[in-house]
Amino acid sequence: MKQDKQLKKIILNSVQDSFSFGRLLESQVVKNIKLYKSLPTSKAILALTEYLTGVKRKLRKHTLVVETNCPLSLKQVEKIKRIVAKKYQITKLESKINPDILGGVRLRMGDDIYDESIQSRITQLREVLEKEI
Amino acid sequence: MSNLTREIENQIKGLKLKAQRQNVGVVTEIGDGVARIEGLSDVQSSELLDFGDGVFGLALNLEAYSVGAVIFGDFTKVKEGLGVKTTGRILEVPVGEALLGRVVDGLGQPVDGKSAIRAKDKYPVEKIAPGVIARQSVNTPLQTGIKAIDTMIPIGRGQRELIIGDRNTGKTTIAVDTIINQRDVICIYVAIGQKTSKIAQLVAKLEETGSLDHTVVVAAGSSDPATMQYIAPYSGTAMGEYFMDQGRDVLIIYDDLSKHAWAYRQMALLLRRPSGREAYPGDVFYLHSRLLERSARMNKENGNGSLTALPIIETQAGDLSAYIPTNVISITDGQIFLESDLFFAGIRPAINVGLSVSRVGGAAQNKAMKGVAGPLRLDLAQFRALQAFAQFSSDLDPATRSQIERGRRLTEVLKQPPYSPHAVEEQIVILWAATQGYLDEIEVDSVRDFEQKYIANLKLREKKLLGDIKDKKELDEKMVKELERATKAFVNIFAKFGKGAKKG
Repeated sequence: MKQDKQLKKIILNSVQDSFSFGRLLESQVVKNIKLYKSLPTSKAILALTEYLTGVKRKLRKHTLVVETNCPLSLKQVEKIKRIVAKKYQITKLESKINPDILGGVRLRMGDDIYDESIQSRITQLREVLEKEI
Repeated sequence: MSNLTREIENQIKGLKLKAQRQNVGVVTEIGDGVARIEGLSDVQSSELLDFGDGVFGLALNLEAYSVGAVIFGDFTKVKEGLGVKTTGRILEVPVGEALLGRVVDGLGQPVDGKSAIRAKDKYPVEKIAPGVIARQSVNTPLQTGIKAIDTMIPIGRGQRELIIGDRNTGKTTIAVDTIINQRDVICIYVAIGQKTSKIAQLVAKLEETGSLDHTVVVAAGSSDPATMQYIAPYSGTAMGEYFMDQGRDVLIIYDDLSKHAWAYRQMALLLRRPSGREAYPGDVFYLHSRLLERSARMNKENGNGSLTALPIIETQAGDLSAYIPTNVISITDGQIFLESDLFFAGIRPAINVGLSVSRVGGAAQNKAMKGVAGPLRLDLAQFRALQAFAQFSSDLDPATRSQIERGRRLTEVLKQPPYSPHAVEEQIVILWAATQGYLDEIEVDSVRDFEQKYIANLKLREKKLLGDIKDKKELDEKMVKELERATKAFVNIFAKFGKGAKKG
């Protein structure tokens, strides 16, 4: 149990070391995976799972996902990225078409979402009316 | 129709909808009301989580990449892959007068089939207990209407008195009797893990006795999820705290905390928290101490209100040394111990006076009651000691025999049928008569009959005397003389015309 805790701590640190200014250092990742593979099998499984979850999570944190119901121009996307970059360290950009949001835009950086979509407004409106009733 | 449209238009006229920043996560595991969520990097411990569709949860385990949360309400709506949002709020329940006379669940939602509850205020379910400065010592009695308790194990307003005993020993009956006896005290009854039929019976009883008007029933039955059973006592306490803050006196009954600990154990095991003794998690003591510590007697600067708690614990085969009973005994200010043997011997309420204790209630007891309680306790203690001895010896000296006879009559006086609480002055006069030896000439079987007629007689002929005892709360010489005169006269009448006089 105690050893597992120590291992998890080491993994957390190695996740941090795998990134430089928000960019993934592939060589570092390969090195870490090799190191964890060399551990005894039971520990290797735990270490690799934890490490990859951590890396994925950190990668998501630096990725901006822009959701709209119709395609945006390159200029519009760049403008959004510029605004978001003031607060978040963005290294990757993904554009998604999601007809469910009905209109507007929804931005996602890791666990944070900024919702300026029509769907969100309808939900807010519904909540207000439900409260009044 | 147009009116309705206009009303809705007016409601949303001034509304400014803006982009919301939300912290989200995804459900990766779900089962038995406990979910594991990946994401939610900004979540705080005990924060309310929104699962959508009106389902809410509480974040309890914060780990490096995931969060363990419990779900309130219908967890079958929650599926793997579902998005979860943080709300930035902690769990709150509606509080206020609108709740009186209602049966609600652990979240304050009505379950009695009546109208929706329109409560103006909300109180957080978890709250830090009042500090030392805001409190004052217990100084006002809380009358239960039960002779054995009010005389020997007195409860003060703001006290925490544990009711402990095996199943079917009358624990709930004591609690219900206490609720029935209250007039100026708001009562909150929290049912945890009980059969729904039992809760329904209790509500019907309260309704029948007219006590439901000043009572809130928080029901988390055995069919409700463990999470609802876990939160119910905290919700009930929040509802009580509102009234306490208004300067009112509140009585809260937790029926029972053993099942509450079971519910918490279930939750903790599902959350994969390390288990300790009897598989309970390490913080099971804190679970109950933080709940019971919220009972208090506030000082004048803080409203002068009080919250009295009567937690109930069910023991297994009278084992007081089990984990949860010892925990709660050490937290509370005393305990009322009920025994199966006494119950089956016909001594009801089956209170073991020797093992029961009230640590702070004595300070709140009125002088008249203290006056009768002293000799009563002594007589009963001597009776218990001699009773065991008398079983082996047939010829006893007169002094010993008279002690035993007195003890038998006192035990008879302390018996009381359920749902029939007595007023303080009635308790004082009958116990005074018994301890002064006026009942020594009455047959043991007729003691209950004597008691009923004696009190009825005093109510009819000595109304002023009873009123004086109630108001002055003490027995002065003049009152004692009057009481002696009235009692002697009644004993003579009863001996002549009643069936209960001793023969020969």
